[in-house]
Amino acid sequence: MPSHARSWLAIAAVVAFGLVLALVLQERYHHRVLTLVFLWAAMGLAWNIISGYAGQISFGHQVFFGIGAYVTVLLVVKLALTPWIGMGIAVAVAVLAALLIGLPTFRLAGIYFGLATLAYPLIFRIVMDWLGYQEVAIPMMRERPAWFMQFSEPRSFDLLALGVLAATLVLSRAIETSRLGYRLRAVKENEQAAEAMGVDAFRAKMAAYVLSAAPAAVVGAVYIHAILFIVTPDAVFGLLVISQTLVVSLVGGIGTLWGPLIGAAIMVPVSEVLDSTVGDRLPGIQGVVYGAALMLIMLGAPEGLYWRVRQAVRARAERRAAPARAVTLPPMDTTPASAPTSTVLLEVRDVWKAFIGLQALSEVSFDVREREILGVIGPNGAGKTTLFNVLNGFLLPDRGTIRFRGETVTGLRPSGLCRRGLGRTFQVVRTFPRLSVLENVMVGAFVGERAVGRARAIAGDALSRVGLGDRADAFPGGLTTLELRLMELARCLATAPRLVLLDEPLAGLSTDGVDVMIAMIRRVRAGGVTVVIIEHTMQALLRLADRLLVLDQGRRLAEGAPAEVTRNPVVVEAYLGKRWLARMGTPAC
Amino acid sequence: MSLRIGRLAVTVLLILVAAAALVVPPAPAAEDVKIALVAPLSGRWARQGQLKKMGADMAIEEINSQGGIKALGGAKIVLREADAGDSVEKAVSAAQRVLTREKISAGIGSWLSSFTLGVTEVAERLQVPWLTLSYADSITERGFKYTFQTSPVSSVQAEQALELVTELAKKNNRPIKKAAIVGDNTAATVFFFKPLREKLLAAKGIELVVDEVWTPPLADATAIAQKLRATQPDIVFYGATNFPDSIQVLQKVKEFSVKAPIQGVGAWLVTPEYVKTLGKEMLDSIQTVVATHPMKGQEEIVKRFTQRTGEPFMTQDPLCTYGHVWLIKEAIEQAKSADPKAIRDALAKIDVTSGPAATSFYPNRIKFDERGRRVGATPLIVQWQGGEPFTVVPTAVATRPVAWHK
Repeated sequence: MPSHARSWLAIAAVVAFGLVLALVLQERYHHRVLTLVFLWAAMGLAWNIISGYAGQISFGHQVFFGIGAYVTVLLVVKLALTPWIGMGIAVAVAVLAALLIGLPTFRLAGIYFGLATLAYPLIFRIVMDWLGYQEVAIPMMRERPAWFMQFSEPRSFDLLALGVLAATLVLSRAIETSRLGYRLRAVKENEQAAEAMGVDAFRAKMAAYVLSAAPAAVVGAVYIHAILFIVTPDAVFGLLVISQTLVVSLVGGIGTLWGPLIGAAIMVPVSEVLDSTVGDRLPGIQGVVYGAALMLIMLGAPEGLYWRVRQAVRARAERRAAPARAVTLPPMDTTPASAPTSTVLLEVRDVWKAFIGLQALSEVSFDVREREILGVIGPNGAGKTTLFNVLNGFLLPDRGTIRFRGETVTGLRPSGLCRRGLGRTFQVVRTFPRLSVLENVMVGAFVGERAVGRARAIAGDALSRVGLGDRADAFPGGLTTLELRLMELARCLATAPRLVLLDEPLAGLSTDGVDVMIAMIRRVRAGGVTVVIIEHTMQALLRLADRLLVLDQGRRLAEGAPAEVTRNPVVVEAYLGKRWLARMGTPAC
Repeated sequence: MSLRIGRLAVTVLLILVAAAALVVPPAPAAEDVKIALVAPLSGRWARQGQLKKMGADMAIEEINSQGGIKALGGAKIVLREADAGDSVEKAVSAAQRVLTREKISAGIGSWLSSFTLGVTEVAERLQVPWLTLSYADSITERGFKYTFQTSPVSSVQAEQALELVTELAKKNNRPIKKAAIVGDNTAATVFFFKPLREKLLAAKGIELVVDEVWTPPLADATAIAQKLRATQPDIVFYGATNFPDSIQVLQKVKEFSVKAPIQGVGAWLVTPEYVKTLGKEMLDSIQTVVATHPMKGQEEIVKRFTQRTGEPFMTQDPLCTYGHVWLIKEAIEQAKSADPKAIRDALAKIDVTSGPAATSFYPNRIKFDERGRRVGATPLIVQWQGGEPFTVVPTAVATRPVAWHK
C-alpha cells in the first residue's frame, strides 16, 4: 500500500529530524526543551490510544505515568535496581493497574467513564502520601551513571526520549492499521453498531487501555530521570500532567498519531519560550499568554490542527471529485437457490421481555428455518424491534430461550452472536461516520479475518456484491439512503452470517430503491443466508417473504404463509380495527 | 472570524514584544558576579518567592554600595532570578535555563523542598554551589557536593523544637503530658510529625491524644476543634501549610475555646496575611518553629527591610535569602574568585561567626559538614505578640520574652 509506505516514511522522517535536532542543539536548556517535546508527544500518543482511537476520554491517564515514575524510582532507591530493568517492571505494574481499573470502569459509558478515571490518580496520590513517599529523590550514582540513566550529557536524554517517542509512534501506527484499530474506531463511532458487527467492545477497549498504559508508564519513568530528578505525588499524579497531555493532544488533534506530535512540537516550546523570555521578567505573564495562545488555537481549529489542515487539503481535492450516480446492481452470476429447507436454524421459545411496566414481549415462540425469508409484521409498538434486540443480544429476555444452530445463545453479547453467524441491520442505519464505506464494511469482515489485507478484500467483494464497488472510498455522510442501506447490508454480509435480521430495510426508500433492495435481499437468500425481516410495507413483504410472523402488543398473533396470514381476521383486526373488518368482509391486502 | 482571531493574535504578539523590550535588564559590566535565585515568582507560592527576592535585593544593594567584592577589585553582584512557577518541571527548567545561559557563580533556592531537590540536581551536574533554606533531610542525603543547607533539617528540627518547647513549659510550671498533632500531609509537615509520632513524644513520656492529618484543602475543621476540646492537650503541634485551611482551624479552635497552646511547625504561620485575616488578638501567643527569624541585634536590618519594602515585619524567607547572598559574598572573598568551583570549595571550608551572613542564622556561626548541612543549626521559636512575630526562644537571641499561655 503506498499510503502505508508513506506513513512509515513520515515516521522515519520525524525520528531523523529529531535526531538531527538532538545533535545540532548546543545549549543544555534547548536540549531539555527537546526532551520535553519528545516526552509530551509520547505521552499524548499514549493517551490518544485509549481516548483518540477508542474514544474513551480518560481524565486520569497520569495514573500510569505516575506508576511508571514511582515504581522505577522506588526500585532504584530501595533495591538499587537499574531503571532500565525497573521500567519493564513499571510497565508490568501499569498494565496490571489498567486491567484492574478497566474492569469496573468500562462498565460506564461516555463522560461517566471519563469522570470515573479522575478518581484513580487521586487515590494513588493519597496512597503515596500515606506510604510516606511525599518526596522521593533519586540517589546520585557516580560510579555507573549510564546504568542508572543519569547522563551528564543532555543529548543522551534527547535520544532516550526520542526512542520512547519513536516506539510510541510505531505502536500507534501499528494499532491504526490493525484490526484492533478499525474496531476501536468503530466502537468510538457507534458502540452498538460495532457490537452488532461482532466487535467485543469491552475487550477492544480493554486492549486499547492496556496498550496506552504501557507507554505512559515508560514516559513517566524517563520523565523523572531526565526532567524532574525527584518524584512527588503532585508532580506525577497531579493535574498538570493530564492537562499538559490534553493540551498537546487537543491542539494537534486526537484520533491520529500526528496530532499529539504536532501539539507537543508547538505547545511545549511556546511555553518554554514564554517562561524564558517574559516569564523571568514579568513572572506569571507566561501563563496568561500561554492560555491565550491555547484559546486562539482552539477557537481557530477546535478539532485540532492536524484535522484542520487535512480538511483544508481535502476540500480542495473534493472540489474536483465526481458527483453521485444511481446505484445499479451488478449482474447475477448464480441462479436463485432452492427453497427453504426444513432444518430449524433459530428457535425462539417462550420469550418474555418487559420494560418497567410495559410488557414488550409475551410468550413469543417461533422457528426460523434455514434459507427462508421470514417477515415479521405488526402495528407500531407491537414489539418487533424489541424482538430483534432480544434476538441479537442487545436486550436480555426476562424469560425464555433462544437457540441458534442448536446452541442456546440466550444472554450472549451481540458480538458473540455475530461471531456465531447472526448478523443484523438497523431501522435507522448506524454507520461509522468517520470511516470510509470500505472501512465500515471491513469492521464486519474482521469477524472472520484477522489480517487487514484480506479483510479489505472481503469488504471490497461485499461492496461489489451490493453494487457499491465504486463508492468504497466515499464517507457515509455523502451517501444516499439507498446506498446507506446497501452499505449496512454489505457490512452485515461481510461478517459471513448464516442468518440476518433486517430491521425495516425498505424504510425511507423510493419505489426504485425498494425494487433494488428487494432484489438484493433475494440475492442474499440465494447466497444461502436466512433472512428475518421487519417491514411495514405489506406489499413489499408479500413479494418477498416465504412466511410471515404477526406480532401484536408483544404477542404472537399469527404465523404462516403470507396469503394465509393476510386473510386471517385477527390480523386484519389488529392492523385496521374491528369496524374495518366488519365493513370489508374479506381483507383486501 | 478567522480575521478577527488573526488580529487578536497580532495584538497579543505586539504586547508581548513590547513587554519583553520594556523590561530588558541593562547589560552587566564584565566583572560583575552573577548569582541566581530560582524561586516561585508566579503561581500559588509567588508571595514566598517575592519575599526571597526582597531579601536578596537588599543584600545585593548593601554589598554593592559598600564597595562590592573587595577580593575581586570591587566587583558588583547582580541577581539573575528565574521563576520556578508552581511545578517541579518548571522549577528545574528555570534552573537549567538560568545556569546555562550565562556564567553563574552561585545559586539560591527554591523554597519548596521538592523544587529544591530537583534544582540542586541541576546545580550539582553543572557544578554550581547552591544555598537553600529548605528543610528536607533528603536534600543533603544524596551525597551532593554543591548543595549547602543552612536550615536545621526536618528530623532534627522536630527533636530540637520539642526540646525547646518542653523546657519552656517546665519553666512556666505547665509541664507537657498530653500532645496533639494536627496538620496536612504536605512533605514538610509529614517529615516534621513523623519522628514526633514515632519516637520523640514517647521518649519524653508525652501521650499523643489527637492525631489528625488531612490532604489539603480541609473540608471542615469542626471535628478537629471538638477533639482538641475534649482531650485538652497541653500542646498542639500544628502544620496547616495551606492558608485557608489554617485560618479555618484557628477560627474553629477559637470558637470552641480550646485552651491548648498552639505550636506551629514552619514559617508559614508568621506571614502578615494572618494579621489581616484573623486580627492580632486571635493570633496572640500562637507560636511556631522556624529555621530563622530576625534576632536580637538585627533590628537595623529589619528596619531597613520594612522601610524599603513596605512589609510590616521581616520573616524567615527574606532573612534567609539575605543571609545567603552575604554568605556567597564571604565565600567569594575567601576564594578570591568568581569561579563556581572555587566558591564551592570556599563554602565547604568556611567558618564565620560574625557579619551579616552569620548573624542571620542561629547559632551565629556558618560552617558546613561534609554533607553540606550547617553545623549546629538550631531552629527558633517565634511567637505572635500584638500582631507581630517575635523571636522568643532561645532567650540569648530573643527579641521579646515569651508569653506563656494562661
